Amino acid sequence: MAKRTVRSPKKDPASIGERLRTQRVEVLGKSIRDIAKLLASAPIHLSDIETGRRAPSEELLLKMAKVYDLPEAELRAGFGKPHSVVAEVASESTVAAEKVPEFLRTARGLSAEQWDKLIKQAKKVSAEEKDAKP
Amino acid sequence: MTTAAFQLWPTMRRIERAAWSAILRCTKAKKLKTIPLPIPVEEWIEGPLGIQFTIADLSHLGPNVLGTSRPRDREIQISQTLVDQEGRFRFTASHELGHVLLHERISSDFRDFDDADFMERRIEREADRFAAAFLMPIPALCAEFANVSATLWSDPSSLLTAVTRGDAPAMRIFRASILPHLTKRFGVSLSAALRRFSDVQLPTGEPALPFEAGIEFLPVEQLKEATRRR
Repeated sequence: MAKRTVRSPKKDPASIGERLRTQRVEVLGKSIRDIAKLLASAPIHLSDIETGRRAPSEELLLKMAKVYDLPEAELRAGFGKPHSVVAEVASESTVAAEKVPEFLRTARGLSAEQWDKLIKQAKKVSAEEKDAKP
Repeated sequence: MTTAAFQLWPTMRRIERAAWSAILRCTKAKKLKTIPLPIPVEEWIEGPLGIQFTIADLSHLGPNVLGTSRPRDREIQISQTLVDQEGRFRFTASHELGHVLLHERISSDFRDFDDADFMERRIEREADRFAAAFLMPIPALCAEFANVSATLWSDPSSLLTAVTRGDAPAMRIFRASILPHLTKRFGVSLSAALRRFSDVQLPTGEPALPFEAGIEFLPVEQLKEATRRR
């Protein structure tokens, strides 16, 4: 499966709304009512999301990624809705609750390549930890 | 071979031309060789015509506001109360499109009320006529009329004349079969279809738009030629 580029790295409801509208009109060729039917949502709700007046719920965001054929990460970044695993990891222990925010503050602004390096490093550390356990 | 039964009132031609021009712009942009029916109003407004189209709660503007438009900003809003009323939704959207394309110099802001007093205003009538012309373009209306009437009336070209004369069987066929077919085919309400018929008249001389009964759509090039002959 081809890797898709995330085009909207920062939170900006107006910008992600315009991106959704452009994708719907120019790529999918569908009306707001067509899309609302596919998402089982109210057309006014979708209209508000596309004009940046509202953000989708977690459930709707996941459905929108599929129906609009856009990367889930692009919608998460645009609407400022992190994946649930972020909160899950950050609150799984006292250490994590202290370290995850510090880690994320330090990592703020990293490029995709830098994140990949960091993930690779984290995997290595995690594997070493598992190997060291009796 | 039969002949067309419609022509425009002379005063209608400016609005008819504007609607036709918008249709041709959309078919060209979408590389279509025929006019799709019902006309895909929302897709064309947002796509080839490049107008921002939203569905909104307009109740703060008054209980009867169904749509608004800002021609200078090229924006249209339709009331959420219409989303499940297909014919009225499409007509209101086309009406607002009429304001955007016809009335940019007149006002920067239109609000359309479901109110007979307001509808008396000339500008609202123009937007209504634009909507009818956009949703039911004459060539397609002629073709569809011929298509359906050919199966119901021995001489389709005389059916409208018979209806106009008040011929009971013709009127029954027109109301019971032809109008319902046309409302479905063009995605409009019965009142919009009837209003469209009041905007056209029977030709007194040569038919304006020759067509053959039974064809579903006229090719765009043929429609262009038909319009040039008007």
